Amino acid sequence: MKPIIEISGLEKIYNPTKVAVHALRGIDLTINEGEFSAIVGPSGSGKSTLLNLIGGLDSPSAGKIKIDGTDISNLSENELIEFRLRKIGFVFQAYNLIPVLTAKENVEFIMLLQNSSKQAREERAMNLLKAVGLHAEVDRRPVEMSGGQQQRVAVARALASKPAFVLADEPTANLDSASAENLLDIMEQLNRDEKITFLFSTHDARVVKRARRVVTLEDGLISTDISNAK
Amino acid sequence: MLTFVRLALRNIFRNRGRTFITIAAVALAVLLALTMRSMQYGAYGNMIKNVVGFYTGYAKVNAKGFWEEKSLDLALLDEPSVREKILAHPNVIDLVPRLETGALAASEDVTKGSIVTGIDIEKEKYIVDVENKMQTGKYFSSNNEQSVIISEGLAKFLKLGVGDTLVLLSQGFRATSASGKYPVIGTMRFGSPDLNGNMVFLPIETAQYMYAAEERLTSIVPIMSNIRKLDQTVMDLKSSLGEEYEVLGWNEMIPELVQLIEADNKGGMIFLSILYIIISFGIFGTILMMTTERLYEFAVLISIGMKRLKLMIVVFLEALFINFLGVIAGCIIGVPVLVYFYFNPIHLGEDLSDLSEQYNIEPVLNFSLNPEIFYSQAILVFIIAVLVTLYPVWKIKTLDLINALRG
Ligand SMILES: Nc1ncnc2c1ncn2[C@@H]1O[C@H](COP(=O)(O)OP(=O)(O)OP(=O)(O)O)[C@@H](O)[C@H]1O
Ligand SMILES: [Mg+2]
Repeated sequence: MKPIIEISGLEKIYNPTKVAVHALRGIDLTINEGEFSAIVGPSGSGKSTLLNLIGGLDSPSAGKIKIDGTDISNLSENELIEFRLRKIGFVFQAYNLIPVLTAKENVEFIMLLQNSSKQAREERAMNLLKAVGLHAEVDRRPVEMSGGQQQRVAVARALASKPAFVLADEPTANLDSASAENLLDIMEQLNRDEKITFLFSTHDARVVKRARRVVTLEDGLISTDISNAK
Repeated sequence: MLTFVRLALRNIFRNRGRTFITIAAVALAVLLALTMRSMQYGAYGNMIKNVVGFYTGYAKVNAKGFWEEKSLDLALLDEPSVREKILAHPNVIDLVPRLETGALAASEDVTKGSIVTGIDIEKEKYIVDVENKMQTGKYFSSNNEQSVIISEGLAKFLKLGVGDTLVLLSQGFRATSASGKYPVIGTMRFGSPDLNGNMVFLPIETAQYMYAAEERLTSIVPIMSNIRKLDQTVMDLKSSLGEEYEVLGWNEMIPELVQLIEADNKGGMIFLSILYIIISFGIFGTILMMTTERLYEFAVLISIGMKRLKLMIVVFLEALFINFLGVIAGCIIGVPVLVYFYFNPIHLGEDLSDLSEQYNIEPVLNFSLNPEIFYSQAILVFIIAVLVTLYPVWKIKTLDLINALRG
């Protein structure tokens, strides 16, 4: 199996000059193509910090992150943005979408940044929105959709750029349980049918149950790493 | 580029509330600046009108050297060719001939130096509308009538009323002696105490006869249709009349007034600067609110792969559009407001009218419609607004993604 994310000796210290917070204290972790994995752990254990570093949104204090073979710590700010655009699909906890754009325009937006043709954008956006069960909502603006629907649009958008993997920091945190289950169904299905790699963090026990690999963080270190081939 | 414009336009048109508030803030700023500047210009116009319009006229034509010497001997000959040359100018609609000189004015037991002005009884209405300023008696009925109208202050000083006789003693053209005895047919009133205490009006031919200056005028005042073209008109007249004549604008006749206005304008600029600062903060407050509201959105956009520079361009374009609309809206609202006040100037209360009379200025807040006000204020507020909207652009450049995403 091909490794997509390779992390070694990863550390993150916030405010190194003032009251330093040692959020990650040496993480070694490899995520392979096709995984459906969850990062869990108590609040403050470093889940978001880890995902932000993997996503290239922040830079590590020590250690290495290789994404699809590229060491991202050597990239400039603009190279990183370009890298994120091509390699990583993001789903945030909430308010992922551009409020003035419709569902379809939000999904197309990523492809617009990639300069793909209008026809290619529209076709792919429609297909993705269909895949997340939103063919009827393509022309709605975020305010006209439920939180669950918005998160599904966010998943569709994350996939629009054909990324190497999708990063999702607590994607279900703002959803009721039915919507959360529904979102996970869709993610699972995309993982199974399209071989999309998902890495998400969560607090939610029901979400944890659905993961095929569960990495537990405690106080900035990996305490357990359990795979259960379902 | 088109994508940026489209995205910016979407942000503008699909978030109407936000757009409206910003446009309203900019439009209000334009309206305030326009009103303030219009009142300042209006006040200068008022000052000029009070001093210039009520007595000297905005410009005048003399024989060469008259302005320096003020001597009747340098009066010009009232030839049709001179009048024609002046009237030929497209901005000149009419002429007011005058014979202005001085005399000792005497009643039975008091004498006083006075300003004697021979006036064309019809044309003079363009400048000193004596007929409408009459306090007692009646106005002249012909240009050779043997009577005088004197100002109220002088009448009081000389203890003269309608029907009494005024004696004038002076020197006439080329050192002849000049004197006359005329019945007072009316008294009139000037706002300015200076003029009110000294003025004697004679019909022009009567004055020319008394001063032995037949066919002579000390000055011809050209009446202009557009006072804003004064400087150009004066220049044109100078060149068309040639060396034998001098043409003076009010600013050359009364340099003190120019200085007064310049000094006042400096004060006005300070007020205006304060207004601009308030405007800047007003617009900044709106922009700050909206930027803060959008930081998360900006962070998401950069996270998913939008270059900061692209986002900065989009947000700047948005601001340009919105500010432009705001400035246009401000001008559109401003025009009827200023037009209204231009035609309905604000009259100050009685308390202030005493005060302003003392300073020789009408107790009125006038507004100006000088188009320059619109260009200058619209452009200035636009520049201020654009500078202020550099804030979100700068904010995007320096945005800390992690903190912004944490909310
Ligand atoms: N930007 C930051 N500046 C300073 N300290 C931070 C910052 N972000 C996180 N921390 C600290 O780092 C530690 C790890 O935080 P992190 O957000 O990664 O935890 P988490 O596991 O995602 O928690 P939660 O489950 O509450 O989201 C915490 O102690 C937190 O207070
Ligand atoms: Mg977190």
